[in-house]
Amino acid sequence: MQPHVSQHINYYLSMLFLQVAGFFIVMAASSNIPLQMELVTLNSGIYVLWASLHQYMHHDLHPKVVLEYILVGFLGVSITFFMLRMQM
Amino acid sequence: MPKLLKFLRHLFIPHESNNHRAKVLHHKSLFILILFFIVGGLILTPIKHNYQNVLGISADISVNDLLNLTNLQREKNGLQPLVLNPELTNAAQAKAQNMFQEDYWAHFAPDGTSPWTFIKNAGYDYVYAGENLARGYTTAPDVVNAWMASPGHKANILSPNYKDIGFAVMAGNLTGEDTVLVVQEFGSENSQDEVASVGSAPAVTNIPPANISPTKAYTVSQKTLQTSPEVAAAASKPLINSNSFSKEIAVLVIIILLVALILDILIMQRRKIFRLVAHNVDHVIFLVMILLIILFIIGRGIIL
Repeated sequence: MQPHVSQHINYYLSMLFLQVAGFFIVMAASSNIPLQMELVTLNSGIYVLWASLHQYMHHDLHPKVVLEYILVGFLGVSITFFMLRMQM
Repeated sequence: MPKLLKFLRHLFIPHESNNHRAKVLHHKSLFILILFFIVGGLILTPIKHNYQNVLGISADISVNDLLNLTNLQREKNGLQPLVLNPELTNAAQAKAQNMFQEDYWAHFAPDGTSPWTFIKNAGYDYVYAGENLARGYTTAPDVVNAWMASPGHKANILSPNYKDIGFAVMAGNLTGEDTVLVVQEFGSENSQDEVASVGSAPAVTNIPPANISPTKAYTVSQKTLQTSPEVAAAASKPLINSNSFSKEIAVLVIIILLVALILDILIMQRRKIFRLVAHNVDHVIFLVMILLIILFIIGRGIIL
C-alpha cells in the first residue's frame, strides 16, 4: 500500500463508503430517470464537499485543488446526464 | 521517439512536457470533457427522437424465442409445454398498449384495472391466470433468464396450473424512458377438464413480477404495431443503438481517465515531485462509482 494511502486510510474508507452508498441509492431509484439524475448530482456534491473538507483539515485548501474536485464531480454528473438523456 | 508516442505520453504519462501531470487530467481537458457530454446529450436527444432509423433503441426479442425458452425451462422441470393462445396474446397486447397509454409500470393500472380484466376482455375464460412483465432487455434469453432468477416469476413459468400462454413485445416511452416492454400472460381455461375439476378454487392465483427493459418495440404481430404509431416507428432497427452507443462512449472515457490516474499514482510515487493536485485515489473511487452506475443501473432490464 502506498504510504500516502495508508496515512489517510480512514478518510479513503469513508469516501468509499459514501460512494458505495450512493451507488445503491441510485440503484433503488432505477426506472425513475429524473430522480436518478438528482441523486447522482447530490452524490457528486457530497464527493466535492467531503474531499474539500479533508483537504482543509489535513492539507492546504488551495483553490486549484478544489477546482479539480469540482471538475471531476461535474464530469460525473455530465456523463450521467448524457447517458440518461439517451434513455429518454 | 515517434511523434505519436510523444503525443500519447503527453496525454497519459506524467512528464516534463505536461508539467508532470497527464494532459487528460488537466483542468482544461476535464472542462472539455464536461462540455462534450453536456452538448452531446443535448444535441443527440432531438436526433434520436426525429431520426429513429439512424439513432434509436433496438431489441432482438421475438415471441417464438420467448415461447421456446419458456417451454425449455418447463421441459427441464418435467412439465408440459405451454401452448401459444391467441386470446392470451391479445390480452398481453392490450395490457402492453394500456401501460404505454396510461404510462405506468405495474401489474394493476392506475385506475385499478387488473391483469385479469385484460384476459377476460380478450375472451379467455380462465381458472388460473398469471402475468410476468419485463422492460429494458435486448434479447429473449435475457428476459427469460431474469424471470427465472426471480422466485415469483419463476413460479409462474414453472406452474403446472397453466396450459396456455400469450406474449406482447412492444416498444415505446414508458415512465419517461424509451424501452421495449415484454408482457407474458399465463392461463388455464375453464373448459379444460383437469382444471375444471378444481371447482371452487379462486380464479386468479398468481401475479408475477414484471420485467423491464429499455429499447424499441418489436411486437408480436403487425396488427399491434399498426395500432400504435410510436411502436411501429420503433420496430425498424436503427443504424446506431443509442443505448449501447452512449454506454460505450461513457465507459471508454472513464476507463481512459482511470488508467491515467492509476499511472499517475504509480509513477509520481517514485519521482517524489511535489504538485498541487487533488488526491488521485479520490478521483478513482468516484469515477469507479460512476462507471458502475453506467454499467449496472442506467438502462438495465427490470422485471415486475
